[in-house]
Amino acid sequence: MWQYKKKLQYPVNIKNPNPKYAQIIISQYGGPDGELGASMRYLTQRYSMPYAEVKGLLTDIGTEELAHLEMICAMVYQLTKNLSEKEIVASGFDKYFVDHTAGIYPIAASGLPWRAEYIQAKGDIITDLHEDLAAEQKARTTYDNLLRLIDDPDVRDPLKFLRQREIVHYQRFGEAQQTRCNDNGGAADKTA
Amino acid sequence: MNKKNQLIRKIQALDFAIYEMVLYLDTHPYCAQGLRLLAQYRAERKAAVTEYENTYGKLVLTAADAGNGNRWNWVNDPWPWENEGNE
Repeated sequence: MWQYKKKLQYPVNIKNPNPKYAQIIISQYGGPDGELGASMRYLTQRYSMPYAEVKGLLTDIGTEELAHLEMICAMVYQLTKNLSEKEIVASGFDKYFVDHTAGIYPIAASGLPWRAEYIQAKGDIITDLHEDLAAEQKARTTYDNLLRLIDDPDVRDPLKFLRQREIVHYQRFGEAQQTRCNDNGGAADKTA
Repeated sequence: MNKKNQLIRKIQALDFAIYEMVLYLDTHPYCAQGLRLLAQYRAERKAAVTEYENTYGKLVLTAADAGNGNRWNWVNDPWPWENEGNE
């Protein structure tokens, strides 16, 4: 089970709504390499994972990803607050608005709703950890692309935090892969 | 930044340090220095959370929480995704 902390993992306080930004950032909620998929991927894979420390890692990173999708949703929410009909049409947000108003629905930047095909649980430690390593890098690339397109420091700051987390997760999954797939006892700090 | 959000920032920073240690210890479970650091961050967090909750209400809901007096304060605004909780 889980316990909710009534705070974000890292602050999101965007003063200027910008529905154009919202429409691309939402991809990190419901897109192919977004945080919803990341969380579901790890929390799903852990059941068949044979090693204790990798079960722990998948549980802990999968839980952190829930905090990340909350941050992404907070960004989309704050970027789409108090818009006029004119702003909605001028920014191209009308296509989203007509179906969801200002509700936060998991879709990719292209408009495609979130799909379970974005994740995999193969029941094989080598296969699943390589999927996870690739997923972290794909998410990192997506954050890099967002940072190329976005100027507002209020928006860039939490995006930069989230980008860094992809790198840390990649590091930890790499340690799990190197220790458990090379049979040296399952701990990166223990010599065989 | 008001006092409430200052304390939230402090707890966020300590939670971040704790989370980093948790992920690190997942793959380095024998690291004595890591275990010591985690214990230190947890003690600092506990003090900060107690200070916050005594003044501003619950941060984490537990079974023992029935609210103070005749009002269920858990539902109070702001919720984390709102600007007011992050200023």
